Amino acid sequence: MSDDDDLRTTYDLEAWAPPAPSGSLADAVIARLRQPPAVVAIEPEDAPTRRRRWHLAGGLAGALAAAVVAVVVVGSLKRAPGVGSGTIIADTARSVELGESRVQLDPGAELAWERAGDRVRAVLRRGSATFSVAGEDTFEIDGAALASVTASGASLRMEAKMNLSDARVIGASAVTAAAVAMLTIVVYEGSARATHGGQTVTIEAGGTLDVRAPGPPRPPSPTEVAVGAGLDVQAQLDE
Amino acid sequence: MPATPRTARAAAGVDDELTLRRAQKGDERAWRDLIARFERPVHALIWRLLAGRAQHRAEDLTQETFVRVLRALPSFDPAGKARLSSWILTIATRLALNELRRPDHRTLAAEPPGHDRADAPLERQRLGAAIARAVAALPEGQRAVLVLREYHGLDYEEIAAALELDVGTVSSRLTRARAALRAALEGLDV
Repeated sequence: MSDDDDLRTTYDLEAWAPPAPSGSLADAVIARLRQPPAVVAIEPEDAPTRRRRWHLAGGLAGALAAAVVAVVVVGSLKRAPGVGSGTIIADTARSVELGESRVQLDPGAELAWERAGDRVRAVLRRGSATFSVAGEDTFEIDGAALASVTASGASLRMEAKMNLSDARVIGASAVTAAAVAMLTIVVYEGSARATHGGQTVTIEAGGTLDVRAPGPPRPPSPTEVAVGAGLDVQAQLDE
Repeated sequence: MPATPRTARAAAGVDDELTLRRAQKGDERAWRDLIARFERPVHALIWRLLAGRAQHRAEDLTQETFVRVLRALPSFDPAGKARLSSWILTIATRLALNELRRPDHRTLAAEPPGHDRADAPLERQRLGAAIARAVAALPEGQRAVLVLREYHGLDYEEIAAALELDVGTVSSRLTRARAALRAALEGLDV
């Protein structure tokens, strides 16, 4: 479109000059991007009993089997993106291609998904991920059981932030499903509908929604401890 | 053989593309190059959009812009409709407009915004202060269109995409904003 206004030639608009930005901007940005996932390794207060050790061993074996299945499914998804499901735990930054759509996982993020035609149901159990929903896809994303987001033709990010005081870690693997304290949803492009606490809101591009957990997270049960311990094995297999 | 302007531009284009590709893969040096290239326009855009209301937040929002840009960068399609620069400025614009909609920033600050430069001639300082007052007094929709067009050179289609408007609305807002600015500056002896 033509632009024949001569405002700029009549007045020196650069006379309204901003100050220079801070010289340490790049350092500050990169420091934020390099932050490790917000989980603190806390050894359990009591040594596990023999019964709990058996639970852990059983959980590890079960998760190992599940991980093998998940890896196979991940491989098959790249060949046939129309249907399928899988789980991934990113111990480093990972990119998952789901047909035309893509999910970027930050280190520490755990994502499960299931595709049926153009619909993808995903669960971000912990950590942060950026979803680029392309083509005809519609994503229904459960964010750490705090909110459900529906998006198509959109780019958005979900961050499940942990309550550090309630996180529990066995060895190197975090059991954090019960410790997610807040979910942040940021929409970069397009729009998304978020449902939480019985309310549905539309988040437009540039908008942010913070959803806090309703109460203090409950401590993990022995079963959750066992499953969490197994997840780390799966992450190693995914590598 | 010295590079002609055309070959220099082509070489710069290749450099940009390589930097972008490396940045998309998480290369820290490429991230720094990208931030160094865009930090001034991003900061200037946010600072001007926040005129008179929340300019103290410009540094924080500039940082937040680049955090979001670098996180979303792998999903940026260089062959898509948006140029990298307009895509980055769109993210910055929306962050700044969101900031302006916060209830505690809705009241116009008593002091007009302006960055005093002691070395600037007095007349230019007066002009800068007058532009600052006039832009700060514009409705935020007109202000965003004016700043994106006059200070950052986005075309009408890019502004429409950034603000999720149709091109006709961009055109009419720009006309009104320019008229208001011209009226505010006409009385000045500059």
